[in-house]
Amino acid sequence: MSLNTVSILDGNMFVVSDRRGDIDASPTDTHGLFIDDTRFLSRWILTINGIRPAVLSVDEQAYFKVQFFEALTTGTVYVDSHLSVTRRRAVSKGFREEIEIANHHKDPIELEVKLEVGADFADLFEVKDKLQKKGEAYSKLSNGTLTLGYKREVFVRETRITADQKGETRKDGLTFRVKLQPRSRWAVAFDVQVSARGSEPEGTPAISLSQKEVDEWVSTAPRLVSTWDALHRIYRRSLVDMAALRFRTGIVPGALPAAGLPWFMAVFGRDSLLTSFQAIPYAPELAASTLRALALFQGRVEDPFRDEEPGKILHELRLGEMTAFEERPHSPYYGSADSTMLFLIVLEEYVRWTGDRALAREMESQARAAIGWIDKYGDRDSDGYVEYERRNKETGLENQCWKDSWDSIAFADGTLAPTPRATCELQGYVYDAKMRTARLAREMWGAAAWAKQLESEAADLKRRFNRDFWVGERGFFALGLDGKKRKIDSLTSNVGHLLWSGIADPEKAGSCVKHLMSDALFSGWGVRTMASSEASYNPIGYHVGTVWPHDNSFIAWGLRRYGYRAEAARISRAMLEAADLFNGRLPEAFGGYDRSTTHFPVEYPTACSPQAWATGAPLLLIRALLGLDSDGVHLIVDPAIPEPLGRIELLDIPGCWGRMDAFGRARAAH
Amino acid sequence: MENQGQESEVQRRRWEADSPALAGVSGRLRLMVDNESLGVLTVDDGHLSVTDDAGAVDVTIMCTTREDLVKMLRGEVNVVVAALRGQVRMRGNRELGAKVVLGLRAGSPFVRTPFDAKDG
Repeated sequence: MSLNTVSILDGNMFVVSDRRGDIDASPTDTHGLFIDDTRFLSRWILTINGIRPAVLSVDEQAYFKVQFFEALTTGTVYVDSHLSVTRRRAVSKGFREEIEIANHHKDPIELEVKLEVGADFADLFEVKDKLQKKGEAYSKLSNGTLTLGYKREVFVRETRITADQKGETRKDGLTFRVKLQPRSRWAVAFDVQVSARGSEPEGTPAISLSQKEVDEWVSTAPRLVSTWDALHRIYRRSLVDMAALRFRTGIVPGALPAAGLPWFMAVFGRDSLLTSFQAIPYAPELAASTLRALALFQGRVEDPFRDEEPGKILHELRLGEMTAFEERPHSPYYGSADSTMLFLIVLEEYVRWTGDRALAREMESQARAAIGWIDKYGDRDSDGYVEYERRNKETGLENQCWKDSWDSIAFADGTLAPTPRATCELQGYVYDAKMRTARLAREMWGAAAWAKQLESEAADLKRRFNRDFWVGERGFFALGLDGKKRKIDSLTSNVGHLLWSGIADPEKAGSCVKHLMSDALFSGWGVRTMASSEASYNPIGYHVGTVWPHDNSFIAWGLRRYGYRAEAARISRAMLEAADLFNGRLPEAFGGYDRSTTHFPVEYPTACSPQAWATGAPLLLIRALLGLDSDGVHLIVDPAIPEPLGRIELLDIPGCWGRMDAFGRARAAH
Repeated sequence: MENQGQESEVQRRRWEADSPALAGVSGRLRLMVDNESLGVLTVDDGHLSVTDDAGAVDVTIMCTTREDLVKMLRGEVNVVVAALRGQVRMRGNRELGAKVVLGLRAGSPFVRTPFDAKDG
């Protein structure tokens, strides 16, 4: 998010304004009050006597409330302002703003306080792609309530604005004429409710928040004690942001993580699953809700428009107008080649960590369907590898792996790889998913023969993968195979995910680790998405050079899997130091510039923040530092903590053991 | 409801069928159009029946038009699209309601439904 904007959110409702608190949407300023992927306010501008107050400071009290301190300037530095303005704003089952004006002068003052309002009801896709509306806008006044509406056939959305002070309400705003006595104050509060069907205002399905609820959420997570003070701040920030990004679907019980502010406040397969994985030792209930929601929408039919296939786990669910009119396929859209495997991985991790056998039993048929998708649809050309190619050529995603930008899958010389693409981490996820599902089949579903079959298939995949994807002359695994089965030979962070999955042979893993920690990939702040040695490398290229915190957290966890404790600790430390410089909140991505050239990680211009899997990154990094795992009965603790981080205690870790503590401290050898 | 003393379409014919896509799903769904109850869809581990009773249900599905209801039972409705357009609303156990509508889309046994336009 831009430094010039202020955002507050509550589940799938969020407000983005400038630092004055004004909402003034334009092609360059994506301001607004957004709910369910629709902008219900695009204009919300305060003037006093025709002047917009100047901001003095912004107090972001919590992620769902903020205060703006302002003054009506006189236009010259020689005359002090005597009029101060405080705007207090919160979202929770609606949007509320209180404006308080104080006259500090010895004389009375007459004011015209005006709030200009407007709603364009833009779908987020229309905002992103700058598209025109197809329906009709309307507005009406009734009993002091201003209703701004939009209608396209049966699709109706409304914004209703009321004030607690009597004023003049017109279709473009509300005006109040105020005579303010010396040393006195005047205040007005506005309530904004939205409606989806022109009926009574609906409660948003988002979670309603208060500071008490946030404190409770944080207090139910394990307590962190560390000699490095910054880690407390980072940890708390992660927990609070994770709370902010939770939202309810309104269909499945519980809350699951949305992907990120502002563009991705929606259910995502990959994002919600990876974030749930990161959060399992801290808030395992997120994984349960995510699995249930994704299981509900698991693909049932072949639908090329939505890239849907039986057994496939969704990519993205959207709720705006373009989805409603099937101008976008997100109802839901299934264009993700990894969500199905990640669903199985998170299911097994969650069950092994919590011992929740009931959920394991509940998910057996979905797990079988997911395995069925991998074998039948995932492997499109029966070459033994999962590859992707969109069926929806118009609005489907071209890249269906986590690096989903157009230029991310390129050869070392910069040439884009033709589709279908079988990226390497997909094969790792298949291996891991089959091994984990085999464990569930044997231990939870009494299906020993199927378990054996899955393990055999996984072993065969591993053998073939280490042969077919290995770039021997450079000593790492190819980014993938292209449509002609050529190795996409660029060096990328994807090899780290192979460590997480366990598909890499140990000696090949060792060679990959050297690359991961080399100057070409490791910037000093983290592992770049693409090595600086490759032709496509760009330190501010979305997936071709930036550093992604979540990527690094899974790489660190993968390094632990293969016994590279010091390397995992090095990445964890660097990433947590970066988090400290971002005031505890890691963004979605940051620049891949070498650490020796900057004292701080360089911001990526359009990174989401908070973003779910970046929020979860410190949680998985702390897990990696402490070496936390579950064997299905006990909590395993195997710390590897670098010296500057001193001592870390994580108390009351929930799991199948009840609550347990973990402790680790740095040793000179690290 | 149908006129008193006159046997309804649901009562006159037994509407029962199996849907493998709804195996493992069980519950009772009241079907309403324009605030009028037209019947109850009972799902019992993939076996579907439509009856005309006033018993308790798990979820009420409210369709804007009879045509929307028929399309839903025939599996021609994307539940997300229909909900966004206000054509289908649910009250009660919405997870069950969504599961049934999604299951019908994967394999509806209803070529005809009790609520089709009457053609004899």
